Amino acid sequence: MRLDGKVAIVTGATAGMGRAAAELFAQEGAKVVLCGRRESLGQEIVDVIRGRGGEATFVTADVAKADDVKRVVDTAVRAYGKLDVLFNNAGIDYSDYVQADRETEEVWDHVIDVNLKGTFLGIKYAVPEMRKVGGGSIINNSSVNDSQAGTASTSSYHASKGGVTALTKKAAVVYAADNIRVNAVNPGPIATEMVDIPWDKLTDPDTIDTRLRLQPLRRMGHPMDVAYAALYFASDESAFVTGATLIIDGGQAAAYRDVV
Amino acid sequence: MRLDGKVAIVTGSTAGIGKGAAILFAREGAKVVVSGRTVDAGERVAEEIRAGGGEAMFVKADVSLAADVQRPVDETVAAYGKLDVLFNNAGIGNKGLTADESEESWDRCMNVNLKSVFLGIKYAVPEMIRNGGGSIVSNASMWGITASHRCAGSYVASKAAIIGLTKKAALDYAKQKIRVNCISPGDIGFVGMENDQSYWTRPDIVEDFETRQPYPHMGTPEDCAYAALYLASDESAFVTGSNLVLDGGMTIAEILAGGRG
Repeated sequence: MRLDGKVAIVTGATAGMGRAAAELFAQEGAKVVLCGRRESLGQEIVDVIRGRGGEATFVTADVAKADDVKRVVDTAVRAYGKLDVLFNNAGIDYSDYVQADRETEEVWDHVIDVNLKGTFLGIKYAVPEMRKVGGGSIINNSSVNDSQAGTASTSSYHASKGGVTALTKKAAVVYAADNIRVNAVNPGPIATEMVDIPWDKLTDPDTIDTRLRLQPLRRMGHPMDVAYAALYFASDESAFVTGATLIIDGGQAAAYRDVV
Repeated sequence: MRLDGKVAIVTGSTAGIGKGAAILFAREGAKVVVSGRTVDAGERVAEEIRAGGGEAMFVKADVSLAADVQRPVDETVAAYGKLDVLFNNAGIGNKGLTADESEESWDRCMNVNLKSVFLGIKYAVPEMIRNGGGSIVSNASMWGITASHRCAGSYVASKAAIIGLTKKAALDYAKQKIRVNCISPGDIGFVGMENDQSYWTRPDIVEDFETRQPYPHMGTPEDCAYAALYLASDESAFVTGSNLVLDGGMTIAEILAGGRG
């Protein structure tokens, strides 16, 4: 198993990519601490993982709050003795405020706090624990929207993801000597709650038609597509990889937007 | 196993990164065609795989020649019935100042490093279309992203072009479920540009490494092999046109004037 003996935290693990990663990490042998704001959902996923013979714990937490993030890290160390992997996955967007002049200050602050500050806080509290065990792997969920702009997301979303990518590189450089690797996954459209397409609607043609036309691979991504990339970065298979940003978008960023 | 039932060609797999990938792909269940110019070394890699319980055969080929790229594809399909994965790994290194490079040196580097990738795509795609899809992984380089005094203009240009060609082919064949990606390794000790191991202990190279690469160890062929495995397997099913950089943080770091961390 590729994460045998490792302890991993996955933030925003109650749905979508976080849930997929938490389940995959556990299947690959990791003890997983899931966190999120929705306790009953989190507990259900923990039960699923335990039902398959895995080890998992849920902590109710809002990653925008320093105390919450610290508590998640402390829980992982108390429950499982150490911390090897952190997947800073939690993220939000508000699709009703896509133009800057209509985006309220409250929306801006909330998106930046969850997406960007949440990632900073994760790194801040995980690094001291990872140093204690001689290294670790941090994966941040950025986006192709760190560098490509669209019309479906808020200004704060784009800015936060640009910030997550920059923060990934900065932390990678600073902590390389501690054997702590920091990488980003940069998903394109993935069928999750955030885009109002839960994964059981992935293949529903009516739901995904407009996005499908712009995708070279002609489908949306599945949360597992991102989970497998996170697994690669979490495991020692990527021992020489740090500061990398892996685009997982069905070819969207590589392609000029002609309709194929 | 992550490549169970798949058939893979790895070019330049008589040594280094290619050899590492051929062995790993076979361990993950693929039938592997080892190719390269050196018959003895290639046969030994294939034999090593078979001795470990895997399936492999060697086909002698110079990837700068179209006929030599087509033949391994044909022999692969003849032997194993199909082609799922092509790792365009073969490449040569080149040093010197841009204006000092001879036309012959430029052409040779372009043919081995870049034209080979074009030819690999050209001959693999029809077989992959017949097969309902596939994965093409090419070996670019960190030096295709950022230039170095260590590498010739031809090397930097050929590797940068692989990244561009990867995007173009990804777009062209996405509809046929053929994914096309590349990896960009940084300093992989003991292989690549320098087979002479004393190169890595030369003071100027050590200083370069210490001030430029955040991660304090060289990469290994296995590091590259695992990156290629991820892109070859269905785990990367939504990844196409991407470039996975594995360089210990070299390309994203400014000069580490204050040392490492």
